[in-house]
Amino acid sequence: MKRDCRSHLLLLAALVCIPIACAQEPKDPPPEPIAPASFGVLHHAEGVAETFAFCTGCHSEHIVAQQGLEREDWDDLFTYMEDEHGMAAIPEPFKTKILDYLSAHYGPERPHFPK
Amino acid sequence: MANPRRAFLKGAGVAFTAAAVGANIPFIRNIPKGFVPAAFAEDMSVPEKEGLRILSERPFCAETEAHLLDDSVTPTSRHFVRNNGTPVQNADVGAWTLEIDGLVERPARFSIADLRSQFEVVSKALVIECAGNGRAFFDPPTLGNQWTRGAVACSLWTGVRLADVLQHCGIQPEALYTAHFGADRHLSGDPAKEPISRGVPISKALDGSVLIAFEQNQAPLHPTQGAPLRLVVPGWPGSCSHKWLTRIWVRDQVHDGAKMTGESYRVPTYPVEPGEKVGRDDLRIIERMPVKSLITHPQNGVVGGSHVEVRGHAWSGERSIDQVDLSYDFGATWQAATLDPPMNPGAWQDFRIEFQLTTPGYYEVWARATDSADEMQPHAINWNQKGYLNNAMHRVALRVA
Repeated sequence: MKRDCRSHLLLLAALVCIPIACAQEPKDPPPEPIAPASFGVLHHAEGVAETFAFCTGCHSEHIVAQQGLEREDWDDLFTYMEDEHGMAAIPEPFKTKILDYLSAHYGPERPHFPK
Repeated sequence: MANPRRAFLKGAGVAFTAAAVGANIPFIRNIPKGFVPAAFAEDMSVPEKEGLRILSERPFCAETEAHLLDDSVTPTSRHFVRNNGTPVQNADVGAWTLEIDGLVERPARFSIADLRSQFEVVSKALVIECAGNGRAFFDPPTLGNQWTRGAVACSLWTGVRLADVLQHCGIQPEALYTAHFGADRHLSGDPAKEPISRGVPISKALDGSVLIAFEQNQAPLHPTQGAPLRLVVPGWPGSCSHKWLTRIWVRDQVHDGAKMTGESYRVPTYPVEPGEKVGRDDLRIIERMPVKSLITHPQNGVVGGSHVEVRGHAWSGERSIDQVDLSYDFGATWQAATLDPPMNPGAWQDFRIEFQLTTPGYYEVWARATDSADEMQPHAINWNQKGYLNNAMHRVALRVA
């Protein structure tokens, strides 16, 4: 479990480092844009990379996309996954970023419920 | 409109309804305020694959659309799948064993050949329904796989009675509950964690209705259905029907395995307002599943002629169905359907009725079953915080051309 999460942290680090490397080397060709398909069925918006990387360490992103929860319920769900399923606590700043993403796009109104 | 269903939940008026469904509505005056036409229910769907709708790839969970559940005995390919962990692949049937231990006089380990030779082998059509079937319609939404209607099935299961096996081992007087274990693995890969381990009261385990099954529809169990050995606890939450079964531990307390505790498979002990959460002390473990019916023909949203044959199934955990009534005028009038007896206790019952709908327009066919304890399906969802036990009436949209 912990090893899984670490491997996804590496993936995440690779993803978030791309724009930084780009800023330092302006003459390099721009990186390939990350296609929405890279994040499965998740809505493509700020925070999707972090959300996809952490969640799919253990389960399909489909189970995420089906939910419609308030921010505090998402937070409680993280606690449940830590307590009951051995998930390592999500470190900051990723946790806040993921909560921002989930509460904006997977709230009770379910604007991105899978069709 | 991007999401007509949400608009109706927000209280769009009935004047808007006829335009939205694209047809005249002969019984529009019967439509209650805030009502969501069944024609819009399909926007809750998820991607389709081989007739099953996949809710999640890992763990693998898939349900069957209502019109594909028309058979009296559900084909294996149309039986819903609810996995909790990483399933067992390529199980060695000959080497598979079931251990019975805990509060029994003679703990034992049986091969599948032992079970076949030492106990009476029986075949029965049995309903398995996920406790969360219908969760997709909860408002506010509740956590979990958003099953619509298709997490229910009635296949022919062959195996031996759990009661016979437990009696053979000798139940000790302190026995209170069973604890079920399988060979599937927790999604994290952690071998110390069980993906799920639930159980039933010893009285249920001994009532003769529960099978230790090795065949579905007269073929060896399919890998998605727990091959080579599983429990079938008819009329109780599907999570009791443990797949890839390896061990039954008889305990002197209510089992406290994975998904037995906390909020899992529990509902409030008293009625709550939608959105109201109760503390864990005010939750009880779900036992029998409530009275319910499903219209399997016609398919929701079809356009047809004035002569309509309606078919479906009705069931109620540990009970039989006394009557199924149908309405095509939004519940103003009801007619009793022809109802078949169950193939055996624990099977669902088929119903059918014919209607002549002479005025063209938009109709909904509603089905409402009443069971042998005089309990009837409600119109509204009995909301609870984990989204269990939605047995509200099934409604199917129908356009008569």
